[in-house]
Amino acid sequence: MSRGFRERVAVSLLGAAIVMGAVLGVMTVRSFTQPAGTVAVQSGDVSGTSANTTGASPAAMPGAPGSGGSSSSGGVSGGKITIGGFFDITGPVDSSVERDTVRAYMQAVNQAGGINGRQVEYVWCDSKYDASSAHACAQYLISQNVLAVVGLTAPLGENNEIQTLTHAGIPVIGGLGTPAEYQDPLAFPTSANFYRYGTALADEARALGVKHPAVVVLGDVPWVHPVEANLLNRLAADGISYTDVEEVSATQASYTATVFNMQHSHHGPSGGGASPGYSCPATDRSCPDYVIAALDPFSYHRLFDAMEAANWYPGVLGAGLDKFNVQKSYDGELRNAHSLVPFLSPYDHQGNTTVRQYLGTVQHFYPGQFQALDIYTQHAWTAAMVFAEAAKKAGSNLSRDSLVQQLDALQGFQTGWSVPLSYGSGPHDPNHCFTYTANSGSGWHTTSGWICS
Amino acid sequence: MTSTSKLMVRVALTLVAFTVLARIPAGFDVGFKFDAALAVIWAFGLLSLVLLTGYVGQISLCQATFAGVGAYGAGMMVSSFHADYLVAVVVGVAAAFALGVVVGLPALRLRGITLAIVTLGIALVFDRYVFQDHAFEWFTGGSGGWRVGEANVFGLRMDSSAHLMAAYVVLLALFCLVALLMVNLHDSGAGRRFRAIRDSELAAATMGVDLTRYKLLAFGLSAAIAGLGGAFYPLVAGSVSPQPFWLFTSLQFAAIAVLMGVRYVPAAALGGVFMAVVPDVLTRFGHGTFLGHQYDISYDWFSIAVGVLLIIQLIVLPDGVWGDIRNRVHHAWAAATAIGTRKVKVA
Amino acid sequence: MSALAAYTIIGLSLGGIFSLAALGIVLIYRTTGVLNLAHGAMGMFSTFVAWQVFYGWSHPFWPAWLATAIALLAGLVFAAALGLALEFAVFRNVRTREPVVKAVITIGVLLALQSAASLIWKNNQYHLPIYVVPQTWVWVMPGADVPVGANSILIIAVAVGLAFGLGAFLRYTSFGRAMRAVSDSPTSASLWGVPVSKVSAVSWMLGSLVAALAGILITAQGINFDTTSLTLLIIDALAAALIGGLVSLPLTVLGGFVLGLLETYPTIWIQSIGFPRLVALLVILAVLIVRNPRGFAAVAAK
Repeated sequence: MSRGFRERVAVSLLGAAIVMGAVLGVMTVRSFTQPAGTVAVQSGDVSGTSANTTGASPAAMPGAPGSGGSSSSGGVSGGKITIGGFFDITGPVDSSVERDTVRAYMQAVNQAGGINGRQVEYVWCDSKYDASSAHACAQYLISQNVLAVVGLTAPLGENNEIQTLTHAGIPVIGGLGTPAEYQDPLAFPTSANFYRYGTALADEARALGVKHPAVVVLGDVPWVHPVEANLLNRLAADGISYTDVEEVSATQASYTATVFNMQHSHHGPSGGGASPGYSCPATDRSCPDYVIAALDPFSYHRLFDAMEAANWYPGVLGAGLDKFNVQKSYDGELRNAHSLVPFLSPYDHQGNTTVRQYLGTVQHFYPGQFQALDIYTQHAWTAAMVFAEAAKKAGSNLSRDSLVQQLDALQGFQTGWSVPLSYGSGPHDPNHCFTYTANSGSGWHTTSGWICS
Repeated sequence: MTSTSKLMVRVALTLVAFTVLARIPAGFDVGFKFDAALAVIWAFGLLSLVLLTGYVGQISLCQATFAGVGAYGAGMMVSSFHADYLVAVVVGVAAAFALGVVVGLPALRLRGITLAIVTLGIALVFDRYVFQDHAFEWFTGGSGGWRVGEANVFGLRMDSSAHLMAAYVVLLALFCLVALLMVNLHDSGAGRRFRAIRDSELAAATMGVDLTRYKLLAFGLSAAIAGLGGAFYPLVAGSVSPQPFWLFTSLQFAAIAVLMGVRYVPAAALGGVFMAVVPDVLTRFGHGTFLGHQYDISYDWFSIAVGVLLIIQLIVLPDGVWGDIRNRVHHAWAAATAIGTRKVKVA
Repeated sequence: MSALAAYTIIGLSLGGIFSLAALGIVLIYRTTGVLNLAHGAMGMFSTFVAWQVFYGWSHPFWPAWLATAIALLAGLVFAAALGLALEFAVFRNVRTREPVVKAVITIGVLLALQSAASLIWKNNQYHLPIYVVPQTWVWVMPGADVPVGANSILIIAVAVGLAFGLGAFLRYTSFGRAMRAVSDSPTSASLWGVPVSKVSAVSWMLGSLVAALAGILITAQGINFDTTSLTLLIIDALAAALIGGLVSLPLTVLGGFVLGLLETYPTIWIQSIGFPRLVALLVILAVLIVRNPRGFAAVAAK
C-alpha cells in the first residue's frame, strides 16, 4: 500500500501528536492524583540525575558520550560530591521511600552549606526487583563515578552486587543487612545481619513463652533461606517445637490457603533447617499459639487480612511490621503483635533528636513519602548519617580512600537511636542489637532495652 | 540479478553494516555498551519472529521464553558444569530448539488465535513456574539465578563490564551471519515452502509440502535463534533472572516486530535498537522542568508510545515501518530503472 | 476430610474470580470478534479510577456506603467511556481485519493502558482495594473451617447472574442478535440494515463495563492491586473461556469453577509458587486438542 508523501508526513505527525497528547494527559492527571510534594524538588538540587532502567529489559543507563574521562577522581569534583544508590522500585516491593530518605538527608545537608562546602548530588537507579537490573544499576553507578553508595535498598539484587561495587573501589554504606555486606572490607552496614534476625526472633519467642508457633517466610528472595534455617534451628535449640513452615512469594495475593495450612498442616522447610516438631491436635483452636512471620511490609497486610477472615488471632512475631501506611490497613488485626527493630521505634520516641530530625526532614522534602517510613528507611537515614560524618572528617581531601579511612576510623559513633557504631578495618558488623516493640491494638510500644547477640 | 550476484551484494552489505555498527559503541561508557549488546540480543528475539511469523505465518507470543531457556541453559552449563562458554551457548541453543519443537506440536493442529493463546500460556507457565520454582533450581540456579563472571570465546576475553565490547562484537557478528542466512533462506527452496505455508496451508499441502516437518522446523529454528541471543545474556548482564524473559517481553517482541515490519530482517535490527537503546536515551536525557512541573521520563512513557504507535501502525501501515520504507525505496528504484526514459511519477 | 472441604471452598472462590474475568472476554469475543488481551488492563484502569475516587477524592464525612457507591459509579462510568473511546479510536478501523491482527492490536492497548496507569498512580501508597461489601462479613462453613468472605460470594453471584443475564440478552433480544451479527460479519450485517457503528460501540462499552466490574470485585477478593496482576489473570481466564468454547457464557462460568478447583487441589501436596499456571496451560491444551470449539470454526479456517 503506497501513500502520497504528504499523507505519510501527516500520519507521522498524527502519531507524534497522539503520543505527546497521551504523555501530557497522563502528566496532567498525575498531578491531580499524586499526594502533594512528590513531584517538585526545589532546594538542595539533589535529585540531579536519575536513571530508570527499562521495564522488561534491564538495559543499563547510557552515560553521556565520552564520560569515561570524568573531571573528578571518584565522585568529588570542585564543589560537588556525587554519591548514589539503587533501589527496587518497580515491582512487588517499592523502595523509593528509602531513596527519598537519603535524598532528604542530603538536601538538608546541602541547605546547611553542604559537606565542607561541597554540595551533594545523589544519583539513583531502579533495579526493579530483578537481579539483572541490579547488576545493570551497579554498572551504572560505577560509570557515574560515584564517591560511595549510600543507603541502597534492593531486596532481590543488592546481595549480589555488593562485590561488583567494591571491586570497582566504591565503598557501600548501609543496605538491608544481606550477608555480603558483612564480608567485605569496603562494605559498611549500619544494622544487624539478617542472620541475627533469625536468632533474635527465636530468642524473643522463647522470652514471650511461645509454645507451638507456625512459621511463614518469604521464599523467593535468595538469601533468605539461610536466615530461615537459622531461625528454625534456633527455635529447636530454644526448645520450641514449631508446627509448620509456609513459604510464600512477595507477589502472593491471597493468604487464605496459607492461613489454613498454618492452622492445620505440617510442612517442612525447603531451604534447610530443623523439621517441624509438633502437630497441633485437630480440636485445639489455640494451637498454633503464635505466628512467626518474616515478610515484607506489604505481605504482612495480606497475612493479617486472611487471619482476620478466619477469625484467628494468634500472637504475631516478626520484624518491620510498623510501616505507617500499610499499618493503617491492619487495624483490628493487631491483637498481640511483636516487632523486632534495630533502631529505636519512632512511635514512642518522638522526643529523641534523631527521630525528630528524621521525621521532620522527610516530611519537609518528601511529604508524600512520610506515610511509607519503616525500619528500612531508618537503615537508610543511619547510612546517610554515617556517610556525612566520615565525609566531613575527611576534610577537603575527600576521596574514596580518605573516606574509607575515616569510615574505618569511626569508633563509638552515636547515631542517637541505636547502639554506638564502631567499624575498624576488615569486614564490619557494628550493630548486633534490637529492641522489641509490641502492639495490642493501640499503637506500638517499646518493650525492651537493647538486646544484643 | 542473478542469485550469485544477489548473494554477493548481500554479503557485502552485511560486511559493511557489521563494520560500521561494530565501531559505534566504542566511544561510549559501559552503560551504553550494555545497551548495544542488549539491542543485539533483543534483535535475535525479533529475528526469530520474522522467521516464525513473517515467513511461516505462525503467531507466537512466547519468544522471550525461548530466549530465557537459552539464557538459563547457558548459565547452567557455565556455573554448574564449568563448561567453556561456547559449549554453553551451544547447549542453550539446543535446549531452546528442543523447546521450540515441543511448542510446535500444538501448532500442527491450531493456528491463529488459538495458537496465540497456547503460546501465551507457555510464556506464563515458564515465567511464573519454570523460571521461579524450587523444582527447577537445577536449571535456574535458584532465585538468585546463575552468575557469570568472564568468559573466553574465540580467544577473546569478555565479561559484563570491562570487556563488554568484545561480547558485543561477537554478538553482532553472529547476528549478521544469522541475518544473512535468513535472507538467503527466504529465497531458497525451504523458504518458498515456508512462505507457502504462510499464504495457504491447504494449498501448500496439496503442493506436497510436508506441513508437519516444516512447521516443527520453523518453530525449532525460530526458538534456536531467540535462544542464541539469550545464551549470551548471562555473559552480558552478569547474571540471569526471570524478569527479562517474562510475559511482557514476549508481548513487546510481538508488538515491536509488527511495528517494524514482521516480514523483514532489517526490521529486527531496527526493533532491537528501538527496544534497548531508545528508552535509555529517553530516561537519560528526559528530565527537567516543563511548565513548572518537574518531569522524569521513565520506561513507562516508552511503553505507552509503543502501544500507541502499534495501534496506529496496524491501522494505517500494515507492513510496518521498515516494510513501508522498503516498499517506497523499491518503488522509487523500479521507477527509476523503468524501461524507457520516461519519468514515472511515484505514487 | 476437612482439608478437602476447605480446599474445595478456596478453589471455588478462586474459580469465581476466573469466571468473572472470563465472562468479559467471551462477551467481547462474541460481540466484536476480538480476543481482548487487554481485558485485564482495561478492568485495572477503571478499578484505579474507582480507587482514586474512593481513597483520594471522597469527602471524609461521607458514610462508607456512599463513598463506595460513588466510587463504583465513577469506575463504571469511566469504563463505559473507555470502551467507547477505544471502539472509536481503535477497533472501528480494524473491523474487517483478521482476528490475529485484532488480537495484536489489543497488545498495543494493553501496553499503553498498563504504562499509563503505572505513571498516574505509581507512588509508594499501598493500594487498598475497594470493598463493595465490608470485608469483615465472613461466613465460616461448618465442617470445613475455612472462611468465605462476602466478597467471594458476591463474585460468584455476579458471575452466575451475568452469565445467564447476558446470555439471554444476546440470544433473545434483537439488539443482542444484532451484536452477534456484527461480530460474525460486519459487511453482511450492514447490508441487512444493522447500524454497525452503534452496535459495535455498545458492545465495547458493555465489555469494558464487565471488565471494570470484574476488576473492582476481584481486587477486593485478594488479587494484588497493582498494574499488572489483572492482566496476568489472562491465562486462567482464557482457559475458562475455552472450556466454554468461547461461545457459551454459562459454560464459561462453569469452566471457571472447574479450573479454580483444579488449580487449588494440587496445592494440598505441592507447595509451589507457579504450579497453578501449569494446570491452566494443561487445561487449555486439553480443551483445544480434544475438541475444536465451535467458536473457532471460522478462526481455525484462516
